[in-house]
Amino acid sequence: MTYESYIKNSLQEQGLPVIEFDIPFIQDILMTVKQAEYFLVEAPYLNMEVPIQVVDKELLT
Amino acid sequence: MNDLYYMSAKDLGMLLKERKLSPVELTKIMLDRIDQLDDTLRTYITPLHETALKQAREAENKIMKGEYLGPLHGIPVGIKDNQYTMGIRTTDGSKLFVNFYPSETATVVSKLVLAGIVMLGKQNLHELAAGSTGTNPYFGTTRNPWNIEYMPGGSSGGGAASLAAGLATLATGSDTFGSIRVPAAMCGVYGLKPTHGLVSAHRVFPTAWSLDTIGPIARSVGDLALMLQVMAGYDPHDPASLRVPVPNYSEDLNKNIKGLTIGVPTHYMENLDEDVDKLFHQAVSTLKSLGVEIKEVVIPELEMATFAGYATVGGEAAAFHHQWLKTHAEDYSPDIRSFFLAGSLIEARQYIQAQQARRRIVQAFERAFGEVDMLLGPTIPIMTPKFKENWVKQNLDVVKRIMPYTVPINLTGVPALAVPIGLDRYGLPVGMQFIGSHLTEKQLLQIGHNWEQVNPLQIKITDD
Repeated sequence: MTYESYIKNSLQEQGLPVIEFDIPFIQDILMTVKQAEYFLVEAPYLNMEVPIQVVDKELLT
Repeated sequence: MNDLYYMSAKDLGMLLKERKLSPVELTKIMLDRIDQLDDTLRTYITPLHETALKQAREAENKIMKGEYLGPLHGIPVGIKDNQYTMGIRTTDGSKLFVNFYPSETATVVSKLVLAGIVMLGKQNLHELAAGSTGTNPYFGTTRNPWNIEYMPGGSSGGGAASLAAGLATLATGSDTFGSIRVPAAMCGVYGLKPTHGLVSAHRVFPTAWSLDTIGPIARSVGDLALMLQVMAGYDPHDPASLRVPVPNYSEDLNKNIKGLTIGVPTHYMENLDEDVDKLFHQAVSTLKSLGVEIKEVVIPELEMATFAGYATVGGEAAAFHHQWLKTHAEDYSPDIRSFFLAGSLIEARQYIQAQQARRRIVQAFERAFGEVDMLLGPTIPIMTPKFKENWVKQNLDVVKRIMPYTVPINLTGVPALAVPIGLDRYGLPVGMQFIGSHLTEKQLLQIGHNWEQVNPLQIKITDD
């Protein structure tokens, strides 16, 4: 997910700009996310939790 | 005259009410100071001389006629420039909105104006309220008044720095992953991130909808209470707005805090800069001497906050900015653009897992609040940094360091009050945050007011 080619291709697929100067910063952010994601493994049955969502009052009326 | 720059809204309000001070005179004094100092400090994007003087004259007329509106009547306030003001340029600190003149006013600003404030101007912020240092290549980088080589923090850096420099009496802020608390800590002022939904976010530029919270910044806790009193309350235009009673936030400020139990999560004791660690421990000792019981608490779920924070902020900001990133990428600074483009690469699975992690963190906080009255930790783990030449990298590095300490509050929607705890070895402020369960702002303000009486900005780091 943090490989340069993956980042460039993924941005291009979404029609987003690929700016060489940004790529190392994007890589660094995605690496931070990836490292932080490891802590999810230590949370048992996280997949069973109902996600926090914005419950819009308009859905309730 | 110097006293007026730094006088509290509470004291100014008494003078104004008793007609010992004219709102017009006060406004002119503040605008003159802005003219003198703000070329360097850059706390305002758009000072509003004409509007401010018009509002001051209106306040004066009303007060002279005996139509006093309350403690904010005639008080000079800075408005963060991500909050819409009808007919007044609202930039969100971004080149994208350099010519945006809204046709509506944010609910929170309308409420303050109805309470009689004088709007000194639209205040500077880290671009798009999405960074923590206060750099802004388009409207000028805000400087920390304690030392202009150091950052003021962000994103509400203009507000916090203006208070530290006596360029406003009160300021509005918004907080998505620390934007009220971080600059409050770095500039040595007080900032309250309220419960999500207590203050309307209607017509405030979003950064990440599910985290964005609007709140007050001031030089005293008493002033935060006065401001929150006006800012809080249900707004049918904001889908997240809470329909809850608004208590009197000022009435218990002087109440003793003896016997309160405060938990310090071990998570908040990790990876602290030396001076932050030292000053925080001193603050904990001082709280004990005030009769507060301090308990160490373990909240393992907080380890998920960094992931949940990045995935939520990145994902939601990327969604809001998707079209502009496609068509106006050059109008973003590289730090913000990289942050949002990385957010565009967050997978749907990750975003949903982040929301599952949020529920776990909420449950963990509820568990903790079953044992203690509130939680406490340093506002940020780092000493206020000096600006570096490579500001793009520095901005992203600062976000990475502070996120684990600031974003749990946004992920869970609970309130937190940032207060100063002393000055580090370079004379820059350091802060801590009291964290309460949902809708405990009154209690947070009470403990914050008690804390304020120790004169925290007189505390300097010592070698022993």
